[in-house]
Amino acid sequence: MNPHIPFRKMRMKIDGTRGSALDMARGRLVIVSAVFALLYILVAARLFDLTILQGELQRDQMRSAATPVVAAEPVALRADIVDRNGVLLATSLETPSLYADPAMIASPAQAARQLTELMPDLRYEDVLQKLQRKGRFVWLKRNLTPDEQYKVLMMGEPGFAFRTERRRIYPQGELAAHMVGFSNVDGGGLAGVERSYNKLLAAGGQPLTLSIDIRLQHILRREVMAQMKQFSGTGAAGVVMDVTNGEVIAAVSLPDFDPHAPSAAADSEIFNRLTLGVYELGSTFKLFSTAALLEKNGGRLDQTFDARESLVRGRFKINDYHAEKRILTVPEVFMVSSNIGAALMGEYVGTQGLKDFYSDLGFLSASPLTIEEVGKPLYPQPWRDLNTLTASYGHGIAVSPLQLVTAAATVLGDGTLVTPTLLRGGDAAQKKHDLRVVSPQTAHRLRQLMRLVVTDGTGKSAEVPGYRVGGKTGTAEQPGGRGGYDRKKLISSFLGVFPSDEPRYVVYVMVQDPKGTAATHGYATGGWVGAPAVKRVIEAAGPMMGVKPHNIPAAQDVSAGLKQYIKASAPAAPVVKKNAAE
Amino acid sequence: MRKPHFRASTAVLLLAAILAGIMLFRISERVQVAEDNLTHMQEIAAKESEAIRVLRAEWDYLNRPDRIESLARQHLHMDKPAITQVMTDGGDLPPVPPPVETQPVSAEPAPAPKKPTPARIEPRNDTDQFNALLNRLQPANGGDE
Repeated sequence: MNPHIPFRKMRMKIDGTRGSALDMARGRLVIVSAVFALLYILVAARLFDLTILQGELQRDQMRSAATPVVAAEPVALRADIVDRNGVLLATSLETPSLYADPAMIASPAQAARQLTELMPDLRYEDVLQKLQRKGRFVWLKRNLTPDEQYKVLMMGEPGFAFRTERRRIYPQGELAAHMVGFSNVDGGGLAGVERSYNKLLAAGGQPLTLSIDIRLQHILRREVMAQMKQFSGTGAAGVVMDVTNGEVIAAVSLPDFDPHAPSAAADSEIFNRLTLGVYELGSTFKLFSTAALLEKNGGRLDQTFDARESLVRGRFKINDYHAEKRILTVPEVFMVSSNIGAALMGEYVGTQGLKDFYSDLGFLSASPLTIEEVGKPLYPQPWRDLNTLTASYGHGIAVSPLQLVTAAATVLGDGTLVTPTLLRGGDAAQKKHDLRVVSPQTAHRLRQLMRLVVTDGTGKSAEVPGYRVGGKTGTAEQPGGRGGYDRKKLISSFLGVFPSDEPRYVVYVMVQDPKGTAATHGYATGGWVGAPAVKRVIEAAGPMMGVKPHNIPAAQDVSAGLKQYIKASAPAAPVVKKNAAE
Repeated sequence: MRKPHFRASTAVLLLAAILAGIMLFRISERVQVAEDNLTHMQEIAAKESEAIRVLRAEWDYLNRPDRIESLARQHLHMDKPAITQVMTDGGDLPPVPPPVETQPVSAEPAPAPKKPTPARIEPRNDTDQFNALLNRLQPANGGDE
């Protein structure tokens, strides 16, 4: 009660004529002081909340939040792409980039000098100019290595700081650029495997293992490049495929590009000649028309084809460019690469039969390879009898080189359908096929024929001692001029297989627009352009792939059984004629 | 008699409460320290694993087949083996070793080392080439230049 006494006294004292005015004033005072008291209580409560409650709470939250952030980081990074042996083809790095806050730098000259001593590639003048700017942010150097970052940190300059940036790095550069592909700055895949497996890669986690072997990739690229340069070709392609499971061990398309700067590359460099380009590949197709024939005639090799004169069908005339002008057996047709013989084979098989066979081999639809750069084949629609004749020796039907190699692996292996894949151990798209395309007998015959081309025919320069290389040359004229074919624009190629008695790998090299040189006597045919490259690839790659070289006497060679079908007058040297399609 | 008895139990309870308070405080303190430690270790581990990624990329960059080939030619005077140098009487070749199974960097965070910073290596010409590769790249985001 005591505190109320003065109040009462006051009230008593002031009670009078001005009482009502004072009452009102006192009432206001009470309200004002109550408001102030309330505000002070609010402030006190807020202080308590901030310092005790929230301070503790926030620290806990920060701590619990810190753990998942650290753990989640690797997941957010785009997954690596590695070759079959685990060598990096593409990886994502978080690299520190150095920036400066010029306002926080006390002595720009000293800081600039120290920094340029650490990094000789920076110019003192440039750094100084940047550090003397007005702003609060200036990049000094992007993508430092951990070592450089450590050194900069040791400088202890408060105005220097780092910002983490993400990069997609392709350590092998252009080596496998067409297959691996590239991605944009936001980490989205734009080409090759980077594109077709974009979702998987973006999710992070385990690296994607390709079937490519970087060592073989290098060998193949080196040799294909050498041939392209020697013959001044405008483009080239090459592939090494495992016959048993369709794995692409090496795949090259030239010219290629730096995947770090795809925007700087020309369209002709980005273009994938191996899978996207479709070409009339010429005589290498005789492998398939012969396969169709052997399937139809039960593997008879003594069937003969009259190649004494040009084959005339309507307005169309088929010539042999290194004409034998005699009646040829099946091995002879294959060995000397007779167009007339192949056309007659196609005629014997029949239009529907050959078309169905090509369809079985996958020549009438795009390759199932799991990249998006696959070209759709071009073939005559409607398919007339005349088209059957030309398709027998690889004209009038355009497929990608990879399709040719896949089909070759099919007919040269155990005869069941081979599906190409870029992933080690295959991928979901690649089902285990037991789809038989040719009989084992036919496959064996074809291996014999391929071997014969290298021992006695047009592919002698592909021979590698001990590896029993089999092969088939191809020299195709490219369409040009007035709706016809340009005899000077060739696609010269060689399809090799080794070892031919028990095939493991198919090697294919193709050069576009090769020009003959003095060293090749002006020739630019498959035997001169493709075969030596395939030989060098097999020479270098065979031991590396664990294929044991094994010299066997000629009598035991896989092609020995075919000798009885060959006339002694068959040419001993690779027969090549200038501007000639084989 | 009642009063001291009552007081004793109060004292015990009070003591127990104080003890529990102290223990609780100590445990929470230790948890805090441990959590701080953990966060720190995780930071180091993340840093190290990122450093390993960079080094792995650099390793594979420096081991490009064409580079090894030119180095072998230049410094060791080695060339491609001729096929005549390869044993052709089959069966004498040692079996091919299985492909190197490399541990993917992202699979497991590397254990934190005792020292957070590895021993420094003097930069060499080849390392600078890798830096050049990194420097050539366009920035992914941000930056005023």
